[in-house]
Amino acid sequence: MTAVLEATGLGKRYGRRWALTDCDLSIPAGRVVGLVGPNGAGKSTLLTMAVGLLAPTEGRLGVLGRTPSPTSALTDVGFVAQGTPVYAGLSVADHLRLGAHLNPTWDQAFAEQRIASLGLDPDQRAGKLSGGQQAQLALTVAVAKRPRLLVLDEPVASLDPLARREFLQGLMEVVADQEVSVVLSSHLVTDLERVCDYLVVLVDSRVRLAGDVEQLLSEHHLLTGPLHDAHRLPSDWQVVQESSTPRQSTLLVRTDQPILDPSWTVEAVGLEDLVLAYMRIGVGAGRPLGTGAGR
Amino acid sequence: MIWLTWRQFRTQATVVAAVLLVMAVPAVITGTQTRHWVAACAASGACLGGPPAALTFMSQFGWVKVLLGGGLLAMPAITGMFFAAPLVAREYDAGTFRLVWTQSVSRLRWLTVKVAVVGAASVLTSGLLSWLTTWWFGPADAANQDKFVDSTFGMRDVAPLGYALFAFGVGLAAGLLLRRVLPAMATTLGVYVAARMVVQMLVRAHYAAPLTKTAPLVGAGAAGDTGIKAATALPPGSWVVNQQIVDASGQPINHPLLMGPDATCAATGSCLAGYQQHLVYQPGSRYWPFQWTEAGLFAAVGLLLVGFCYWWIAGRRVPGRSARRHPVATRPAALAPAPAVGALPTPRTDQAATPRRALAVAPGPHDDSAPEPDEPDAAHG
Repeated sequence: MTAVLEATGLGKRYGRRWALTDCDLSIPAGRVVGLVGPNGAGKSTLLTMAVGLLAPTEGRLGVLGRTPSPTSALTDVGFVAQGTPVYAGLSVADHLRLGAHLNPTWDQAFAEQRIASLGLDPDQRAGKLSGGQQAQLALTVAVAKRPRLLVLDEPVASLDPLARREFLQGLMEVVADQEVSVVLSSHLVTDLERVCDYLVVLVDSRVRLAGDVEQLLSEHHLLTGPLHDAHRLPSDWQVVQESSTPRQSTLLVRTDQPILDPSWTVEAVGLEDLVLAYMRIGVGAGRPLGTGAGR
Repeated sequence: MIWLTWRQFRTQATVVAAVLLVMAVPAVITGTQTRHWVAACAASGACLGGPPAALTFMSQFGWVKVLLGGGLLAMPAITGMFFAAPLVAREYDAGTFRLVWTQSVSRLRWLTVKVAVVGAASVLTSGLLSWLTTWWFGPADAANQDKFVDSTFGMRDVAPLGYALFAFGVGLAAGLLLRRVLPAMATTLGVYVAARMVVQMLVRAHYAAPLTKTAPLVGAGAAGDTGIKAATALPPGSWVVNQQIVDASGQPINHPLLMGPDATCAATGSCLAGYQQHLVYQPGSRYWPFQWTEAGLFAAVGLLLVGFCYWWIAGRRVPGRSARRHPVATRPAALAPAPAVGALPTPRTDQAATPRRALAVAPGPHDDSAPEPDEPDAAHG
């Protein structure tokens, strides 16, 4: 499998401010990838560069094996931008016509059928649609292009919980139907865990964590036990996060080995807690990562 | 792409076409009436000798004069503001550039079609109105021979086409740089008015070195004709750029005598000996060279601005060329020497693409100095 999106030393500067620095990232094909990180991590900048709307200041970026550029056409990538912009003055049907005129690979039958199943009136002006309907329309335009890669930049950030769920539901149906890789960014893990099977945590331009969701969940454990000595932990443990009271310690540990020591109470960890723990690294909440690995 | 361009443009196009029609209907009716009247008058011989017949007849259509003159003065600004300025600015304003520039059409092609359709419509609008205006004023211009003077030069023949292209370029560039419709429209209007005024007052007279003529002042002579005048007439249709009364030594004067000469003096010129009128002028034969120069100058600047927009929209920064200037200020330096924690266990065989540094986390202080909003301002309307 090749990478659909690969960044090497990627950086973007606006004036004097760096929005993204030294980003190394590889996103595998055939997956629904959640790109998660706090506001300001550089998610939007990264995805905007991936679709060629912005040129990198430095570094290299490959999307489907090509370097996106502001001057080339984006033929096999579908993009749903932040805030899911649509033309307020154009009708739903006009948006499909727009897609058909601007994309040689346009699938009009799919688009019409999806609009019908969403219950949208083709003659309705897009400006009069609800936020959720606008997002669905934007997704329809992006998907009917039949892209190999679908890039969604915080598509649900401005939607209410119901619309959010419906949008993600629609996205899952699309993914089930088509051979398409998806990169979906969000700062909310709960949005992602419903649809994504691969997770990339981006903090301060850096990849903090990346991997298959199920595998990540199976490798991380929340351990509670007596106050321990850091140097006596098993050498294959990575302690992601640690908090201690005078009497006991709570550790978030990553290991692919079973936890055998009976003095630890082992709990599974949820995706959200896992991501939050990785995001918090470096904020001072936990012990710096790596020392527990004892190498 | 042409479909989309027309779909987005048709409202403005329809409104401006309607405005054009509102001006054209009365102009065509009254213009035709004038011509019929002049022809009939000439055929009957009734109106020879008096003040030019057409002017008398046309004076009843003052409102058409205002309509056409004002319309042609404003039309390039109107198309610049309502056609060109929103072309890109509206996409930025609504964020829809992120929709339309991520289809299977490069944004250069998008711009090319937009510029071709909307730019052509802008030039065509002013061109049609100029043609109509020139035709309507034809009889009056023939009588007055004043097409060359400031008040009419910019409202005849080809100059308005240049203005329209100029205003289009200004509107497009303003929209691209300002990214907001209203500021772009205001800028377009301001730049257009300023450019017209500067060219009219400071530049136009220098398209060719003006001619000068100095002639003695004489009295009016003929009965009923009061005032003093120069002894020699200029070629018909000339544009007097500057005129002065000079005394015998060639010094410009502003003598009260010349402001209001007494009746005897005005009739005989007895008091005017030694005074001369000094004229700086462009002869009528230069009208067309000046028209083309004016149109060409404005059109060239307009095209340069359009070219600038292409260069700008294509992305000025070449990917890969490092422009890093201040590695310390916002760069989380503590993260730079991140120790590779190690490759992840990869039980799945298809995970060759697992990131090399899946867990690149560095110990060290948190860099508080760079809490950056997620939305890149360049990518966000």
